[in-house]
Amino acid sequence: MQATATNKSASDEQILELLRSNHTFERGFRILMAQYRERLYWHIRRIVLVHEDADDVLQNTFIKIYRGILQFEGKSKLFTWLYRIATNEAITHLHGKTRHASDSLDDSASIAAGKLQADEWFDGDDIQVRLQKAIAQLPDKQRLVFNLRYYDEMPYEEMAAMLDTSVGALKASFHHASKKIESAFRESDH
Amino acid sequence: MKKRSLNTEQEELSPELRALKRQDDGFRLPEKYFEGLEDSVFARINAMESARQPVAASPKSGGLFARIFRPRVLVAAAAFFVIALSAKWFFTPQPVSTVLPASEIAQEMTEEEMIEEYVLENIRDFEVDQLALLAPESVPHAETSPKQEKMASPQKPQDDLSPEEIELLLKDMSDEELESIL
Repeated sequence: MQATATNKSASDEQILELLRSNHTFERGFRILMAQYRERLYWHIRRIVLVHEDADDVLQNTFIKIYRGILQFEGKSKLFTWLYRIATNEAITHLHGKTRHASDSLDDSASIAAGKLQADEWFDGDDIQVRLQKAIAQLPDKQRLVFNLRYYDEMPYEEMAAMLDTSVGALKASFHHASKKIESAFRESDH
Repeated sequence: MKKRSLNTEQEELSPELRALKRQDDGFRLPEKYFEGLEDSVFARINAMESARQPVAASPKSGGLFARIFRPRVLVAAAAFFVIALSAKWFFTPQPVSTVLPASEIAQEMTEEEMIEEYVLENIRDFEVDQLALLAPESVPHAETSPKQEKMASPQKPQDDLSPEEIELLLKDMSDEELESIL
């Protein structure tokens, strides 16, 4: 269902070359979307959980990429840059939505997890609902690290470049997150 | 290699989570969702661009020339030039017409100028001693006969004339003119 983070540097070069010319810009951008839409979608969906929100955030993400792609300097991988935009957009969306429903930003993911069972595009069983609720209780950064490692299977080095954090700190964060989820999952079982 | 280390890490860290990952997570997608995504994104981009810049081209298209010569810029430039030309015309002093009616000319002339003009027009009617009373600069420009010029010339008094000149002058004069001088 979800794509893994593989090395696409050659394809990225071709995409960027197309994006540099006015005549081929749209074609290049369509290729970029086709290349990364699924991975970005699932990354966003793990954060906002509901399909309707994920669709909205994904489109906003591509619009931001469209406007900013010419400022991409190539200091990081294109993929890393896209993920960073998608992550910011998803977290902003999540907290923005929570602000309308509640004053507490900490509850944002929990509220999204609560909505999950009402989403017509989710038919997970009780175990999966409990798992998502346990993940939703994590702080933003820890939840992000857990999702990137557990679902997207992203190497720590790429994660470090994306989140501007050391590999050691990320490993520790994933370890803590896994233990917290396991504990919360067991508690909800009783 | 990386995949195996990831699996090992998860297995060691939490066998329960590792087992859960093998199950279906329950997240679904509308059928052919990704196929229409690109068109939806471009439709939103185009709507935003047209709302922001109704006459401008896409930010990625058009060079410097196209950006400078947009219709909105041309209209603004034309309006600026019209206003600038109007302001220049309004604030620049207008030249006085060179053809003025006789009455206006008369009004603008001083009394002395009017006398001079009258004298010049009717110089034949004046006697030499009367002409001598006029300002010297007005006489040379007068429309006089060469005979009168010689008579009225203040530059050379008659006492300074040589005998030949006197003889020549008398030769050209009629008897009546001679009598009037004497």
